[in-house]
Amino acid sequence: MKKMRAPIATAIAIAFGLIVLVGYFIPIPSLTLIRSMVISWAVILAAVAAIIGIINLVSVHVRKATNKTNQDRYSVVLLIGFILTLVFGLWLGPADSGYQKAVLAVQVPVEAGLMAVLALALSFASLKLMQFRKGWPGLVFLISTVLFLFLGSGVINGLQGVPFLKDVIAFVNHLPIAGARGILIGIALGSLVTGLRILIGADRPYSG
Amino acid sequence: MKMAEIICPMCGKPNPETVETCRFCQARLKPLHIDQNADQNGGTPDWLAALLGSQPEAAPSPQAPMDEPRSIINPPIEEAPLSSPVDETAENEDWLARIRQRTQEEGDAISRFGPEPVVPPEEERQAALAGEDWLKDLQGFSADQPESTPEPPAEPAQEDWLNRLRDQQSTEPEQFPQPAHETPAAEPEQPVDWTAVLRQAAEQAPAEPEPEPTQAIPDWMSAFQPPVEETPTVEPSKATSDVPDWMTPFRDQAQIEQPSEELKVEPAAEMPDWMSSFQPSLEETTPSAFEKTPEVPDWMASVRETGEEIPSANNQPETSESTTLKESVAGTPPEPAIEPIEPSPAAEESLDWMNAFIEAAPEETTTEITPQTNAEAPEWLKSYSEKLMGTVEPNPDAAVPAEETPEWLRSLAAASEVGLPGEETPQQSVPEQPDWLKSFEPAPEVPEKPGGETPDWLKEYEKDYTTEEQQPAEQTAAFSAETPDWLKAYAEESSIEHIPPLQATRPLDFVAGSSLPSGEPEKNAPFEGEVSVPAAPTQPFETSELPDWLSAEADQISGASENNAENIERIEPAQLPAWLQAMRPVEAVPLDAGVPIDDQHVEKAGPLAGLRGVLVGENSAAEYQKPPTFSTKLLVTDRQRLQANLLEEMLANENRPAEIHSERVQSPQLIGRLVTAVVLLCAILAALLIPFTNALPSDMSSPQTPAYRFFQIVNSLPEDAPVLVAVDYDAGLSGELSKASVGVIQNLMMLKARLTLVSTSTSGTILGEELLQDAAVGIPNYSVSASTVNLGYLPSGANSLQELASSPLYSVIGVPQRSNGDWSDPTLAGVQQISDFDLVVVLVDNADTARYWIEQVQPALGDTKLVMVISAQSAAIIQPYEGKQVAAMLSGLPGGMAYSAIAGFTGAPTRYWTAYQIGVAVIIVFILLGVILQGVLDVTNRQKSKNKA
Repeated sequence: MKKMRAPIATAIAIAFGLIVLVGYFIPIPSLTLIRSMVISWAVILAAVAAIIGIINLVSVHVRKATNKTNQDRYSVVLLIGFILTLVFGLWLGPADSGYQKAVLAVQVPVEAGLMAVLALALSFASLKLMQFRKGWPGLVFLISTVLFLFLGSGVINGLQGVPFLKDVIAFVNHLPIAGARGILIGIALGSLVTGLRILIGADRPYSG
Repeated sequence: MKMAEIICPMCGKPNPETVETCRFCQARLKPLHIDQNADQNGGTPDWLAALLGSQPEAAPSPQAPMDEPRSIINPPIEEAPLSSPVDETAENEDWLARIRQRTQEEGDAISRFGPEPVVPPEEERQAALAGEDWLKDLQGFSADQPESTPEPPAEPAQEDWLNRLRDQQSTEPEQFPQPAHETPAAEPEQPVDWTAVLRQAAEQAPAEPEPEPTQAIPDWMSAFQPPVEETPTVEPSKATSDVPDWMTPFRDQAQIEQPSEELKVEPAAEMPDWMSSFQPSLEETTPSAFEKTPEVPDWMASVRETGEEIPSANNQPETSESTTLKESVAGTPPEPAIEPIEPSPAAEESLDWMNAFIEAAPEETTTEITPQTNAEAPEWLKSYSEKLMGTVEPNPDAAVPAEETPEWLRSLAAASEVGLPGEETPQQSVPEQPDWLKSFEPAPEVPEKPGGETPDWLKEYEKDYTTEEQQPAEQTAAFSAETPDWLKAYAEESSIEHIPPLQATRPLDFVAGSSLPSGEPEKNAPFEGEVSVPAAPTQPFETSELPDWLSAEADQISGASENNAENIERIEPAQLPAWLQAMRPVEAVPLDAGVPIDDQHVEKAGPLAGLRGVLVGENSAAEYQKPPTFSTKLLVTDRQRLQANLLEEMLANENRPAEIHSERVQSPQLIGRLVTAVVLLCAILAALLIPFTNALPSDMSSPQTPAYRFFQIVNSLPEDAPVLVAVDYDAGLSGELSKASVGVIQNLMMLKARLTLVSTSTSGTILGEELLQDAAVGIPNYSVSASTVNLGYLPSGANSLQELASSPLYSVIGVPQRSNGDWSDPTLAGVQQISDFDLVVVLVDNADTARYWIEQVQPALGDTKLVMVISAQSAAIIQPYEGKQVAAMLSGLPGGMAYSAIAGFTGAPTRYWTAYQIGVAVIIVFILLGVILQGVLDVTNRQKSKNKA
């Protein structure tokens, strides 16, 4: 049975992929309709997957919270918060301003705090930058970091009136764009190759 | 009489005489062969029987008839009791025992200081006893025979001693022959010096390799073989103190009236003439001649004395008197227990020739033969001894009292070229020589022989030797197996190099008056050739089987001897050609393989006694040794152990993970982090708390800036334009983006735009609501609830955006939030699909989401512009889309602040700008500070390392 599963899944994946791709380039009404339907199914499946993920998360934490040998107390907190949020959300509705404020009151500080710690760690790492990365790559990285921090902070924005510095600053501002373009091209090409591999059956991420 | 016991020649253990095989080692005690002729003659050999038949019957021997021919080679150690007067027997036994004992002691002494005897003491004793018996027989003969002439009257004496021998053989079990010189402490009845002289001479003579016997030649005859021109490899005289075996009969005969068991006599019928000649000589010798000389061997004296008593001395077992004989031969004073025996005239005459040994004994030369000389020993004896030693040339002028030389001895000497010392010409007419002695004469002289007819047996012997001239020396001694051991021993003891051919080395040369061996093979010798003299002549008549030449073919010898003499002259010693030697299979066999076979070694014990080329059992015992025990423990050297340890360590390191060296921490991590955090927080808090008025740079709000373009796009919207605002950032970056996008929202609120919120992240809808609330605070106439709608969360990311872009909104979104519950809400009036919006504003914090919006939605927007407010961390990635897919983009807080400044919104954003700038400055300071500190530390460490170096 396992041997039969692989080719069927592959066939289905290839078929639907071709339908969506062809329907995107060939505006046939039926094909477009099928394509829209398949995409709708994908969206629904993604939503269901999210729910399954939530259920899985809850079950894991429930298991950790109920484990006698190695009980995880944080799992209990998580479950409590989950339950309360679920209950209040269902009861008040997601549009309720109070509910939203409560959620935001917890959600925003937590995530913002994590981002702040990251900022401090990066600040400390910047202090020991040359200790770990000695040599020309480290020096170049150090110089570029300082330069773009200056440029981004707006400290040298006042120097853009200077003709030479303006051109230099403009040139420097365009350097990230060049890098970004290269990254985007690479991402695009990678995405294209990955899609083609799936369409031809070379990659089968769905077979497990 | 005690029951005789037979000593096994193999294991040396006593066995009763009735048994034929040893009870311990199962060795044969009695030879298997049976002499038919002996049986016919009542157990006596043919030649002995013939002699006895031609002779008057002697005194009846009380001995039992010899049922089996005794093996002269290995006479029994102990004699069987013979019927004889008890007194005489006891005396003889004592005398023999003493002689034997002395002989054994001398042999032991010599073995300590010289070559060890090969034959065990028991065998030596047996040989001595046999010699003694033989001698005793001779004495008996001499005693019986009247002292008239040495010739024919010897026959009755011969018959007597032959009878004794015969009786001994019949009554005593045969044993392996024992060389006389190796006999243990023999039991000389009466020590005789001249025999001691000979014995010593024989002992000290270098060992000579025995030639391989090719024909059956009695051992006693082997002594007369010509010497072998080979390097003597045989052990030196084994029992130098022993009397030559051929002499022991004389010795024994003087003491023992009866032949002992060990005495292996040949059949009386075939007794050689020389034996018969001894009888009258023994009788003729006077004891005074020996007694006068203080050094006269006792046994010699006893020979004379006991010559008359020999018949009564028959059947006397050998006793320790043989030791006495040996000792006396060695020069020790005779035992007082020895009963003097008056030798008969014949015995005295026969003993005259022995005087030569006594005279020659004192002349010790460098040769191994160092007989004890007697001052009054006959010259011929002396010269003979000297010749045996090989250093003294025969001195024909040596004074040898002619009257002391028996006539028969003279005749022999005259017959041979070797003249008696003292005689002018050795070829003088001498009395008729015994036939047996004639055979030892040189071939050319054969015609010159005085009338004596060579016995047939001797002729054949000569013929055999002549045919063997071309063979190696060791092969010409064909009758070494048959020769008496006493004769062999004597031959071996004498130097082969110096011993001329047989004729010269014959111990009876002195009898014939021949010269002593000169060291060179004499020509015309009947047995010319490289013939090795047996090392230790055994006792006479000890051969286990009589050679044919002694029996019926004895007549042929006389006729062939003449031809052989001539052939001997022409035939040179055998020299194998090279091609023939190469074909020899013997060469293919490594000489060292296996047990070395000493061709010169004559087996003296066991059933192979008298044979040459026998594998030496003694050597094999030495060769076979305990196999080496190998230790089970592995022997490892230090170097090997070291290498093994290195290999083991290498293999262990393969599976061992590499050690991670911990970094050296210059400062505590916790303090550094705390300091950094404190400094950064203080700076930012100060910027927030302290009302710094840091105006936004003007260039940031210039028309060429992206913020200005964004402002223009937004301001180009008509009033009440539907604007889709996508809030796709997380709560962690809400502080940046909310501050960056609030100005845009406020601007849209000021334009009375209908805002529709949508989000592809789970917290986006809530964050959007907060954003609207914050923005509406500055716009009092804008109602968020009436002018905004929240479409909620769109799962699946890009798929939902694709669906949103391609499908009507109601198909994508279920029920809008904060609406009337349907799509009839006036906020969504005229909006069916995404392209119906006038502006799509995307608030995103990561580049992927921004790409999704750009790649999925923007193509479906048509004329609707897509603008983005993106976080500074992702702005660089999306910046390539700016101006094309993205109409305008605000990058992080600076962009938002610039837009706010352009739009004319002031307040909180200004403070955030200052704090932001201070924070960035602090970080820049940290970086620069770290670089400086690290540089200083590196320089310091380098200096320290240089100082240490």
